[in-house]
Amino acid sequence: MTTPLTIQLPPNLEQQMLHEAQTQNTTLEHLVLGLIQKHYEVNPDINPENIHSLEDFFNAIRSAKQTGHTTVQTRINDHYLQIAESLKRSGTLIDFQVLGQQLILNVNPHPPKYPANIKPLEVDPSTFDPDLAEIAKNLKHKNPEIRIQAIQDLVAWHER
Amino acid sequence: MNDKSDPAWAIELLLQALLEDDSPYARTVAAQGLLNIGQLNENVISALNHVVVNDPDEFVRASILQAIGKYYTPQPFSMSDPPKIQMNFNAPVYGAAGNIEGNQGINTPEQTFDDNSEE
Repeated sequence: MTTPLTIQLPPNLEQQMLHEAQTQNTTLEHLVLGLIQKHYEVNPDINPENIHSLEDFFNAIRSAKQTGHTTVQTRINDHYLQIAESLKRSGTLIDFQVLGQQLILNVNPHPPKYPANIKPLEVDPSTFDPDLAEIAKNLKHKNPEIRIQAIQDLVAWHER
Repeated sequence: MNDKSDPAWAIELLLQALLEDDSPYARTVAAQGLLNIGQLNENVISALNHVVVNDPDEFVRASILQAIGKYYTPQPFSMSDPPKIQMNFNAPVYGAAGNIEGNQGINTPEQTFDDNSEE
């Protein structure tokens, strides 16, 4: 859905913008829209109406992070709101706002590699019980196959 | 969590593998492990959401997204409120049988008639 907007341009500004539109081989309307999108850092590739699924939602956030257009807007639902809260805690989002039925996300262009709300584990594996200590040691092994096996062993250890 | 045999350490170590392992496949296995254990506390959900957006590997992101999609799928009823289904298997049956109240039959566990006959 788009909202029509009529604005009165002063003659001197109109001449200047028409000239710029011609230079860019575009229309006055598209020139103004582009300037507004740039001002609000809205990613023109992310149309809120195109976010229909969780996949679209995550992709829009990722795309915003990569393109530097740091605002994503979508219709709100409970799951998107839960995820926004979670991503804000982890540092992927700087913040988010709810405006009516719209959820506006401010994406962090440089999120931390490690979620900000989770502390890296600092524990001496040798202090674990013997089985877990062996698994924890293998989680740091150079060989990825051994690490993957250790991850599977970890799940089995939890279920023992 | 001082007890070094506490099962919660497994979740902490899986989180570490999910966030730190160099191997994309190892990170995917760690995510699947966390989801299989099923104790999706705030840290686990937060880490999974973080990885879906920020992991450099497309396969890791896609596989976790598919898995957590199930977590975010609305459930029509809670497990504490089981569906009231009365099944009857007294005769050869070639279709759905039983009484289902309202729409609570949605997402009932998949069962074959053979499974029931063994009980």
